[in-house]
Parts: sequence; C-alpha cells; structure tokens
Amino acid sequence: MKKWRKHIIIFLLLTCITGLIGCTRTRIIDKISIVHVFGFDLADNGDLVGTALFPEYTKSKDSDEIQYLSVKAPTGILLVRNMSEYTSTPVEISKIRVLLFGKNYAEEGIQDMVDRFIINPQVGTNIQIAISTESAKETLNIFKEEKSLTLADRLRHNMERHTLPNMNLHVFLNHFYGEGMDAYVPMVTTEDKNRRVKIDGLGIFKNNKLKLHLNPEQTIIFSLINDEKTEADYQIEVDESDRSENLVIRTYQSKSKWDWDKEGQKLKLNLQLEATLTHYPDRFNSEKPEDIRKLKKLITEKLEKDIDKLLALLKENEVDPIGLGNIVRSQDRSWKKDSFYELYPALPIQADINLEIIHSGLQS
Amino acid sequence: MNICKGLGEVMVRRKRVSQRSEGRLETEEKTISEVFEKANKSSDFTTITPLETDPSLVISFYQTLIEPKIIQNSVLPFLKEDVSKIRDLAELKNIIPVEGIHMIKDPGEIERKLHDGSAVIYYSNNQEKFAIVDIGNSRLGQRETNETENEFSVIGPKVGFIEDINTNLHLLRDHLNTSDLIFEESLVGSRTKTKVVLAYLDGVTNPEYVNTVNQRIKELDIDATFDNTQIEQLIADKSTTPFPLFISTERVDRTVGALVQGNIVLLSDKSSYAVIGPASLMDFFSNPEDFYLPSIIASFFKLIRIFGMLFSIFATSFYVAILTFHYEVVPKDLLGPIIFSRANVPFPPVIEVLFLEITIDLLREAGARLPTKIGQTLGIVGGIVIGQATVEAALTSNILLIVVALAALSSFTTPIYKMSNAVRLLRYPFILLASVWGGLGIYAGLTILIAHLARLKSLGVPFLLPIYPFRKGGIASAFIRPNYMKSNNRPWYLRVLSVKKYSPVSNKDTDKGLNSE
Repeated sequence: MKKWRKHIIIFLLLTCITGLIGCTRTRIIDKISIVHVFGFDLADNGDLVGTALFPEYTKSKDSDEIQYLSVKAPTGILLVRNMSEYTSTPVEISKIRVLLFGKNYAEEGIQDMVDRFIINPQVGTNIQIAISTESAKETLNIFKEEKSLTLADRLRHNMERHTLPNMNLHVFLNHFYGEGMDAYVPMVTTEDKNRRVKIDGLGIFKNNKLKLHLNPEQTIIFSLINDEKTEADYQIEVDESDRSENLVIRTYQSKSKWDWDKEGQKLKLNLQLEATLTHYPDRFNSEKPEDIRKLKKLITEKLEKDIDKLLALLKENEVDPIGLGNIVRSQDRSWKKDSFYELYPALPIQADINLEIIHSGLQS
Repeated sequence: MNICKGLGEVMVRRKRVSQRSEGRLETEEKTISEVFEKANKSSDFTTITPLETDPSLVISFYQTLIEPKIIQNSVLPFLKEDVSKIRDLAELKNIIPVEGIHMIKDPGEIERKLHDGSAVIYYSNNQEKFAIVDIGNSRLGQRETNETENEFSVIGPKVGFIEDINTNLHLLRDHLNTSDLIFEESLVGSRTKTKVVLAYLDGVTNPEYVNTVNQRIKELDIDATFDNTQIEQLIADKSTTPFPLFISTERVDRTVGALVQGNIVLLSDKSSYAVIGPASLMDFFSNPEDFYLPSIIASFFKLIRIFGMLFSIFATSFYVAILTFHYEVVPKDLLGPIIFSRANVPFPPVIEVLFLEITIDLLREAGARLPTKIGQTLGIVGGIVIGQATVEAALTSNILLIVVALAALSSFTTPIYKMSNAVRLLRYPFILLASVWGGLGIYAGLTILIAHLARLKSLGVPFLLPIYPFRKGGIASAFIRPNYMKSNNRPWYLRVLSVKKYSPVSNKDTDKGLNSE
C-alpha cells in the first residue's frame, strides 16, 4: 500500500489537473473581436447607446478594416452582450484604449457607467477617457470613415507635447471618487465641414455631471497650474491691432506650490515657470537685460490676469478640478468638505508667478 | 555505432563494497594455464619462440595492442643473439633495451598486463616465472589532431583533449607546472577496466571533494564505460534532472582554469572530455574566451548568453500564453501583424508552436547525426524550404517562425553542450503549461523549476550557489566577468584551502615616460 501511495497521489493530481484544464476559456487572439474605442450615449427613451470600433485584423494587417457597431441597452453591462449578437467572435473589451462619452450623456450624469462598467477589472486604467461635443456615435462614425483608430494617440500626444494636462483613466477615477476634487476630461469636437475630429479643450465635472467646458486658451492655463510638465505654446497679443506685436512663449516646466493661510482663510499660489521666448516683437532685443525685464513683466501680468480669470470661472461654477479642497485638507486638519465648499465661490486666491526665461529664439 | 549498441546493454548497478570484492576474488583464483588458455581463444593472441632451443624462451602478447616496431627492433634481435647467455629470466633486464621489465608471478596481474599491451616472456618448461615487457601502443588508432571541435573559440588556445588519457594528462601536466597537481588513478568498469584519473591541486582544493569523488568511484559497479560523461552521470548527486551537475569540457584551458580555481577534474581513458566539479548553474555560461577578451566586452557576452538561455526557454511559451489568453499585453500596433499572420492558421497556438519546435528539434537531431557535408544541405532544406513552405501552407504564422528560430538560435549560445540540451528540453513543459493556464502556467512552471534547481547539488555544493544560498562575493563573477584587478581571489564559499590567487598590481604611468607631460 505504501509503495502505491505515491502513484495514487500522482494519479489523483493528474486527474484534477486534466479536469481543471477543461474549465479554462481560451481567448485565442484571432478568434476574438477586440474593441478599441467604446462610446456611450443616451438614447431618447433613456436607454444607453453603446458604440464600438473594432478592427478586423484577419482581413487586413493595418487597421483599415474597421467594424462599427452601435447597440442599445438599458444598462452598460448589457451592451457587450447585445454587441455579441452581431459579431462572429466573442467581443473582448480588455484592449479598449479610449472611452468616449457623448456630451448629452455626460451632462445627465455618468455615475452608473463609472460604477458598473468602467471600474471593471477587465478594462485597464492606463487608457484615455474623453467627451465629444457631438454624440459619441457620430464621432466614432467619423473615425470609421477616416479608417483610423488614432483617437487615443491624438489625445496622448496633445497631453505630452501640447495644451492638455497629462491624465488617463486612473487620474480620472481618482478625481471622480476623491474628496475635495472634481474630475476633468479632454473634450473632442467634430468639424461638420470636412468631417474631422479635433481636440477641443477640457470638460469639467461637478460630481458626476459635466458642468463646464474650458476653451483651449483656458486649458493651457489650467495645465500650467495643474501639471508639472506642460509643453504648451502660450500666446500674448501685445497690441491687438498689429499682427507683428505678438508674443509666444513655450513653457517647459511649471511647479505650483499652494499655501493655505488658515487665519485669513485664503490661498496663495506660487507658480514657478520655465519658458523659452519663441516669438517676440522686433522692437525688443533679447540680448538687452532691460528688454528681457520688460518682456517678463508683460508676460507675468498677462498670465496673472488669465489665472485670476480662470480661477474666478471655476469658482463661479463651483467646480474644483485642481483639487483645492484636497490641497487645503493636506494643510489643515480641521478641514470639512461642506464648510469649505460653502466658502469656495468667494475664496480669495492670490497668484504669484516666478517666470524664468531659459533661452530665446527659434525652437525646434 | 558499436558504442551505441553497447550503451543499451550496459547494466548499471551500485553494489555494496563487499559484493564487489567477491567478484574480484573470482578473477584472482585463475591459474596461469587458464589465463593462457582463454587468451589463446582469441586470434590476435600471439605466441612466438625466437630460437628453437630446449627449454625455449616464449613471448606471448596480444598482437593488436602492441607496437610492432618495438618488438621487431628492440626485443627480438637481442633475444635471438643473447638468449643463450642468460640463465635466469631476471637477467633479461640487462639485455633488452626497453624500459619497464618486471617480474610477476600473479596470474591475475599477468592477465591485466597482457590487456595493457605488454608481452610476457617465459621459459616453456617453467610456468612460474614471468617477465613482463611493456611494449604497448595506446595511441594506436587515436586521432592525430586535437583541435577543439565542439567548444570553439576565436581567440585563445585551441588545444583540446583526445581519447587517450596519457596525452590528456600530459597536456595538463605540461600546462600546470607545479608539483601541487596531483593525479589519482583508479579503474572503473568490470569489463573495460577504464583508467580514471582524478586531478586536483594539493593545498587548494578542499579534500572533501576529492574524498567524495574517490568514494563514489570506488563504490561504482558497472561493466563497461565508454565516455567520461557517462561516469559523470554515475557519480552525480542526482540522476533525475535534465541539468548537468558537472561541467564537461574538451578544452584544456578551461580545465586548467578549473583546477586553479580549486575544482576537481576527472579524466578517463578513451574519452576526450574532462569533467569538472563542483559546478554551479552560472558556471555553464562562462567561456574560456571571456578571459581573453576585455572584461567589459566579455561581461556583455556573458549577459547575452544568460539572456539567451532565458529567451530560449520562455520565448515560445510566452507566445502561446499571450496568443491564447493574454491578448491585452500585445501593443496595439503589433496586433495587426500577429493576427493577420495567424488568420489562416487552422490550429490553436500550442499546436502551431509544437509543430515548429519539433521540426527544429528534428532538424537539430538529424543535423547532429549526419556527416558534415550533408548536414549543410540539411540546414538549407530545413531552415529555408520547410520554414517558408509551412508559412505558405498556413500551418504556422510567420511571426512564430521568427520567434522559434530566435529561440533555437539563442539556445546555442550556451557554451556547454549538455546545458543547451537541458534548455532544449525545458521548453516543452513550459509550452504545455502555457497552453493550459497561460501566464499562470508559466509562473507555476517557473516556481517548480526554481525549486528543482535549488534542491540540486553538485558534490554536495548547492547548484545555484552564488545566488541561492546568497553569497555576495560571488555575484559579480556569476553574471559578468570581473576584471583581473577584482578576480584575484578564489570563491571562498567553495571552501578552498587557500583563497588568494594573486595580488593585483595596477599599472601606473611612469613619471619619466617617453611622452610624459
């Protein structure tokens, strides 16, 4: 008996293993429909409309054979099931790169979708989330006609090299659920004339509803305050009537430091900015310290004005995408959410800018 | 071919010492007439009488083992001329100008000497006194060239061992001019009586290793040995492992290096491979050429080899796991090419991979058995024709073809052939595990592999040594080749008797050099 025990154990193990193998569901790469972009809209009857783009790689090596599927379902979870009725292979959502919400839906509130669909572990968090000013269905239709799946890349490079603040779904969820801050997402818009999709500023949520739309200029200011590395071209019109009186700086690094004055109940922003002068009117000479000082003053004043304007706009709409509540909470133990946001619309914020021009001239 | 047949028939058993000594007694009981009677059955056993006198002098030997020149030039002429002068066999020493004439009575010893290539001289009427003349030619039938064939290097000596132990010992002794170099000889194999020599450096090598090897060889009971690598397996700590527990090399420089490092070396007759122990896993990735190249370059090559082994084991199993379960990890731009190339393949990834892997192993096995000239054609047929045709016939995807070819290529980077064989085998369980449980399966397999490696021992020394158990001093030489300023000590964790090898001297600029500032 003892001699056979080892064999019996091995036999039982093998049986269990063989049994277990039968339970695994394979997802062989060419036998699934891989969704790349998922859009959500609100139908007229209150149902959800889900739109998905998935490329048919089995027909073409490049992503020019794009399947476009739009289905209706009462809840987000059922969208995938309803889509499967149209496809020849199972629909897999793990490779989603962009989640796109229609503006109508976002304004109605996206709480259920975030709670039930987006935090699904199958969907990664290093993906992009965006809101389109048109319906998501319409925007994705343009992409289908364009035969491209580049929405994620379009967002990505605008974050890295241009105006948009750096973010992904992870940041979004943090801001969405976090206390003392509101979520923000990039906005995309369509041009009716030539059917193109372009980046268009930033949308800001109040709780779970889209409340405010920042235009690209405001987005630059927002990025400078909120982001550490924003490479943005910031333009100042010194004289509005003369085209040559234009000033452009390209920012490289921005560090914002917030100080909460507990007694005075006011916030102070200290913004360290590194920038290059890429374009300036001919009457200034960048080799003269005098002129540089003048330019600096010009830029700082304009920036301060813009920052004040932006903060005023945010306060007016009672949204807090910068997370001022959270910043104050980190410096003030007695912080209470309700009392802070009662105070928020009238909160005095003083912005100091410390501009450093690292070099000037043409910039590649 | 004969060796292959014989190998199958070899019965390997480890017996107790007492049983073994019984067997020896049997042979010792033979009488001298029995010895000659048995020898006479063979057609190559020759007995000649140089002069017809009474009592006549008789010479017996195995014709196939001796050097005919010696017997023609140095033995027979003197016997024919001066045989009448001598009265006693012991006086033969004075008239035959050949070294190594002994007087032996023991029949067993005589039989052994006959098999070594000696001639026995005796009077036909007196079968009690025998003179043994060593006229053997062990180099007969040996190859002349001893260039390393299987462990090639671009830089450095290309001297390798051959199938004759005396030559091999000569090569070692010639290279290592010190009386500390000890050779301990013993015989292995009840039929072949193969000479096995254990070499080590006295005062450096830990005597425990010497004792362990000596004891294992002594307890070894086997009828025939054909190669040193066979003895290596028989004295290994564990036989149920695909990993070689000793380094087997045909390079003289590597062997000398191991001796200097404090390892033991086992050589055996009729084998061109030296066995070095104790060995650790990381030793298998170093190559003598590393020491002839600048340390930075050699370190890079060594890292490449380690990477090559890992890639070779895991590349195809990751392919299976990713294509079967984890499509998420494929970058977006790679999805297109992978799916498109697989679109018409009717099999799941695991069948596709097994098909190609087995094809590669078939090619390799066939290539190893075929003569070199045909082997080249085979490479072309296998590599290009079969590879291209399978892709066109949509049996496999062409991306897989690249992966499998790279994996096969990187398994050849391991300098020790036995290790690359182990790597070659290990792929299959990983592929199967990946096909049933994906990444989890690979992880489970890796856990088992590491547990197995951690349990292995070579002459009682852990196989994973500088890594586990962790020994800080050995990490550098395990992964890279440190420069000579840093590698002046032997690894203390091998319990060597003297740690220091040399004291490094840094070369400074002379103050009054030819072009100094």
